[in-house]
Amino acid sequence: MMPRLDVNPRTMAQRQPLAEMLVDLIGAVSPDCKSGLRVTSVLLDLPVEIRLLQSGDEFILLADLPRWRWATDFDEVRSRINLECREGDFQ
Amino acid sequence: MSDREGGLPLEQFIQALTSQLDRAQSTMALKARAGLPLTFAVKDLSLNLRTHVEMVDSVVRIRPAGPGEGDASTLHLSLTTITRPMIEENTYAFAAAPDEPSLKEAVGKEMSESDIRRLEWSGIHTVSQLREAQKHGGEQAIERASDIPVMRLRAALARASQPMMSGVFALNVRSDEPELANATLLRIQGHNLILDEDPIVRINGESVPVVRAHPREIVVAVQPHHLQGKLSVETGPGAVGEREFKIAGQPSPTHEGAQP
Repeated sequence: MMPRLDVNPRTMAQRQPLAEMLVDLIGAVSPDCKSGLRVTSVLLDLPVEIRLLQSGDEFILLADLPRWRWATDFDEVRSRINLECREGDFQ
Repeated sequence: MSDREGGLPLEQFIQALTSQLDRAQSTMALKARAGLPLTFAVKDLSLNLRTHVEMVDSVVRIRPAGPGEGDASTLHLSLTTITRPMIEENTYAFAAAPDEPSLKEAVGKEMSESDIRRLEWSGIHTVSQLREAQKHGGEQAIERASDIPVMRLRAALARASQPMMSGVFALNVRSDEPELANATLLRIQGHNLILDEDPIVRINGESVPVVRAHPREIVVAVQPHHLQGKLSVETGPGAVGEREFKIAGQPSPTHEGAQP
């Protein structure tokens, strides 16, 4: 059953859109020249819980890192995201 | 099964995924502009999605696996970043005139809000883009991409191709042609004012000579009794636009060559 919601998706049991999860994760390892070390690329391979939320006519892809280390039958079946980021602006 | 009850078409899922990636990319670029010295950009992303896959009316629909659905399928999607030059190289240039009516304005009566949204999702935002896409990709391609039946597309395009007049103005010049020397020139502005041949322009049912015609503008030479009434422009069989007009006051004429 796909949930429908006409409010901010963040209010739905703290689930967050995929974009917010990616920005949070990548932000945690942002390159910072002041530290002396510089991260030039990030490769992430993550288990994620994916859900779709219908907000009006739009579908929002929600993705969260697993809330528990061990999955139970009450948790969503986990998908996996493999993400590669590099320094720069690809736009 | 409807969207709300279970799955959604795979295209819409991919659209939701790419929309999230675009949003992430924009947010990171914004952070960079806000003061971060360097930023990351997403280069590649692959997703192993545990999902149920169904075929409903020849549409592939998916529904992410819920709790306890361990036997769901795995859909592997790989996405990579393409740059603006790559997009431009692989896309037709659909130029939209700045004051061109939107799809909703032009075909809002023939198409529902959701039809127009699906066309916009396919990248078609204006009538000229719809016409160009039809010319290059054909109706079937638009139908497949937007899920709008060909017949409805044709009806919408026919409606969108109707001449539309936004204004009628008297020109402050006279024609250089001797036989039109005493006529007043009227400028008719609008859209779709010419198709393959010169349009037929009538005022109160009388045909008036067309001095020049352009898709956005027609200039006609009229007599004093043509300065108000019912104006009609016919650009082809069944393609007729009409409007009432009235020219206030008489222009003081000079010859056409005297002013641009």
